[in-house]
Amino acid sequence: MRASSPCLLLLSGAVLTLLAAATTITDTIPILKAPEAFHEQLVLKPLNDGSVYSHFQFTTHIGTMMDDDHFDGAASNLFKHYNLFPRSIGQILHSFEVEELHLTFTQGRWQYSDWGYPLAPSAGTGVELWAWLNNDKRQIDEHWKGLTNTLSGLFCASLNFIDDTITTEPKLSFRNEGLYNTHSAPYISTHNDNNSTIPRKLRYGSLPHENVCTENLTPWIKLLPCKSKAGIASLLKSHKLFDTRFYSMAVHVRSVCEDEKCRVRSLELVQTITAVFDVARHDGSFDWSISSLFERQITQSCPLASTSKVIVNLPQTTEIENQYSLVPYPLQGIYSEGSGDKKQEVAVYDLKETFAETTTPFQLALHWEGSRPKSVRAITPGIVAHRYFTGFGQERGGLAIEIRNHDSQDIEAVFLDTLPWYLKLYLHTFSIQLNGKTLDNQRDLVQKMFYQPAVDRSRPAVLEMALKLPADSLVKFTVSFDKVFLKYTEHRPDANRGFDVGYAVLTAQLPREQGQIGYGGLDHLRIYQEREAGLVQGRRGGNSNQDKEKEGQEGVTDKIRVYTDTLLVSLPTPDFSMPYNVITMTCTVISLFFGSVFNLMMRNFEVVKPASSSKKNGSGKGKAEKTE
Amino acid sequence: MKPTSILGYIVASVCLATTLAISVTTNKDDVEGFFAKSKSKSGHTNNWAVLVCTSRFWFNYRHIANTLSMYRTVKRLGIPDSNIIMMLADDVACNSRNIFPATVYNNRGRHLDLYGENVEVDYRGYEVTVENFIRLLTGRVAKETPRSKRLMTDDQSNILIFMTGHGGEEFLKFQDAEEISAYDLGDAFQQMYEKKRYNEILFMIDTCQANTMYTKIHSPNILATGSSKLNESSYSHHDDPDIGVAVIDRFTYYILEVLEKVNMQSKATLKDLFDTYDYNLLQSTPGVRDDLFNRPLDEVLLTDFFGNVQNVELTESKDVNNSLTEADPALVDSEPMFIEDPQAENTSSPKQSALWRQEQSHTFEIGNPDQSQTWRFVAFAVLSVAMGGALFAGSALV
Repeated sequence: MRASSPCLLLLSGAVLTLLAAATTITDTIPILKAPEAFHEQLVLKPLNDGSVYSHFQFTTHIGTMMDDDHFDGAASNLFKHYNLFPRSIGQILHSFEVEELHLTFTQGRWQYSDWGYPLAPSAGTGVELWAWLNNDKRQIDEHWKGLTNTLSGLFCASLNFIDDTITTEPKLSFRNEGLYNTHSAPYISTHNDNNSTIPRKLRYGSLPHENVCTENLTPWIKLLPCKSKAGIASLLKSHKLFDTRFYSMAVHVRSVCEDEKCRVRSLELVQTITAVFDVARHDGSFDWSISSLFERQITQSCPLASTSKVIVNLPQTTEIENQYSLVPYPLQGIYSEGSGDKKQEVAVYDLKETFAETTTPFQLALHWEGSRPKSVRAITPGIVAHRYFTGFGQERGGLAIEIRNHDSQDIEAVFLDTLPWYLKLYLHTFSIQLNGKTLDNQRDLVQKMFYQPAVDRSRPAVLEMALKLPADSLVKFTVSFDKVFLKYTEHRPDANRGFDVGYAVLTAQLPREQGQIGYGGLDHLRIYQEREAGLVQGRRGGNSNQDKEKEGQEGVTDKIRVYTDTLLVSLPTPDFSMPYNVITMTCTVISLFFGSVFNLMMRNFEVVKPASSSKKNGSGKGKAEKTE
Repeated sequence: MKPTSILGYIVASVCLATTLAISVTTNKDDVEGFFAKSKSKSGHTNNWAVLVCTSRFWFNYRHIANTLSMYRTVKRLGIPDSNIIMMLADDVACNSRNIFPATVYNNRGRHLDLYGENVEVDYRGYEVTVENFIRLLTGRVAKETPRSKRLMTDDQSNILIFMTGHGGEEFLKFQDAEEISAYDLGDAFQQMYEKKRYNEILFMIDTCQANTMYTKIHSPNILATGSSKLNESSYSHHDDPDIGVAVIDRFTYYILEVLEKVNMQSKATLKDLFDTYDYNLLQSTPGVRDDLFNRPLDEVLLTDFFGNVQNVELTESKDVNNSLTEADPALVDSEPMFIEDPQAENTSSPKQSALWRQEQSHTFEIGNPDQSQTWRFVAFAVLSVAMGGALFAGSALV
């Protein structure tokens, strides 16, 4: 008894203080309901041209510190225990003090005019990496180098090639999403990344010629709590995913607001896979099912997931309705959004509910009645950008960028182009054409311009502009450049293929439009959840809520990034066997020249009498004698 | 009363700690003897594989298939991805010319997809350079280099180095742009030897005039084999009309024929492999260089290099009272990584074997279940008594 009573006292004291502390915290800061949560979601949408768009999204949340004063995001001591959040990512964030990380692997070309905008924020061919790093201790370049190398090891990709000659620091594009990102619109206007107390720096780099294949998918799947053993991720079969028209795979880490005032935040890891399947390629039929697309089935939802949903954005036919059948029909029925041209029907399947009732694999198929009609509503994306090279020959060339605004209102956009140092831009040749006419006063269109000239072998050229694109317009920029004659060793092993020049990126805030795929971007999961909640409330309390929702939709914009194609530039290539020719030639010349001159200079030529020659001189003299 | 009781507890716990320490402390020779016993005949405790395809471009599909075939083999025989460094100079799996996306086949029958669903390529594309290869071998990499791109071997590592590509007399081309010479390779191995980065190396090379590549190696414990002699080409085995190119080289194909029959328990030796070399099949003269290697080839197991098999000594000391092999054959079956070396002789003294038994129960916990449980129970009791004593003393102080 003597022993236990002090222990009990101590314990109870500790409990009391803990309780007190907890209550004081709850007084000031709301606490997250769950420290960690995982959501899985698959969005399917038949596209205009008959292909099927699929977007996998896996979201892992982890609670972080609460308000601005305490918030230190990813670099906090948060990562002590790992349940759902992958340890490999957590350690990277922690050791390189990464606040926000976006890594995308893409193969293929996203067809904006046919497909609209993707849900995934990045669609540039190759690999794109950008991160906001904590700049407290001024080790940012070291950290960036460490980050690229570590990620290269983790994802089996040559990310370590993102060195100083590729890395840029955009001034206007790729803003910190963590602080912008919230579903409450007013928050967007009041906050920007400048009010943060922690100095953060952006680093951006892309590799346009990086292949994406199974070896990149393998580590990506390993980050998921259920791997590909259960849930939606069990559909991820590399043989089918890489047999697509477009494939993109991303990891995004950012902090998001959990309440209106953004006092509670959580760190969010979003993993996405986007694939566009060409369903009609084999047999000409536009019918599809989950098993025909992925050659796999969902046999259970991931037990660790809080939500597990399959969402189908149904094709909107313009003439007659119900030209297709969806099997099975969703339990909750089909939601309909918008009206008229912008009407979009959505079917939602909750796998948690499905597998609560049955154990048979989840099947989903869409059959067209007869042939697929041509009257599927076309998607008109607001902004499309196109970039190409002009000129010919291997000495100089030109770059042209065309930006088309289909919208009926002026749109503000930011254009970012990064060009490697071996293309020497001439800014004085920069000209702008609006609808085919050269503009004299560029100020109306280009509101801000930032240009970083390239430095040979150490940094790329960066051209960044804040634009105001007039309604229904075609804006064209042109600029000339010289091609550099590279050193013999600076050429790639396949030099004659040419050098890849990465995409340009156009960032714009577009009014949210129903029916577009890129509806809400990475936040669409939240939007869906809210909308469902809203719909339930609306049913209970009349239509007032829906009206509110409509009002809210008016001012909402989505940040869309439009990626141009990557380009291939051929630089003058030397004859790679030339060094050997030169070596051979030089050696020959030297030996001939040197031999004869050495002979002439060092040897003493004199007339000798035949009788005494062999006694006086060595054998060399004998030769000299012969030559005479 | 109080101070004396505290003192008593302290004394008691100190006594317990010392007895524990004494029971764990063993003679240095005994420990080393134990480890020497637990080693395999080659003296290695870990296995690494460096698999290099140096060829770029689609028509060199077969070189990537060669490398991936070896990758599958060593992985099947137990070397984990973390111990395999794979360098592929091009991506044929997701190449747009490949009509079977995300696959690589090494046979016209296309029975086995070498790429599979789980593959890790450590160096790929432009990263496959002579510089990176030599840096990898010698360990002279930049400090940011991730673990997956480092060869973290020590003096007890057996390394399989497999290279394939296009070569010539005393050189091997990397990416059609640069070459590694036989001298570079010899010097790299010498540096590895000086840095104690390996126990034994098996160097295999499948390229034209391959045997010239190992002529300049001069470091000990390296066994080398190549596909063709000076002025001889190495040939591909067959092509696949659908893929459109040759899918595997002869040398690798016939080596795989042997290796496919090997499992982790296999007692096949390198001599068995080398004996299958046949000019008529390969259409080139394969070579073996074993003058630097100090073990007879008929005693070198294939799994010493292609597998990750450690010969852990399990039973000898148990023979006295309760033989593990007899009592629990299921354990040996279920744990193929621990296989008994039948040729090991019991030369130990009773004292030594007693100590081994003790060590064994510490390290492996797969000995006699009763015994290990008793040990656990004792440890638990001792710990709880110590903890309780400390707690009591602390509370008494308070």
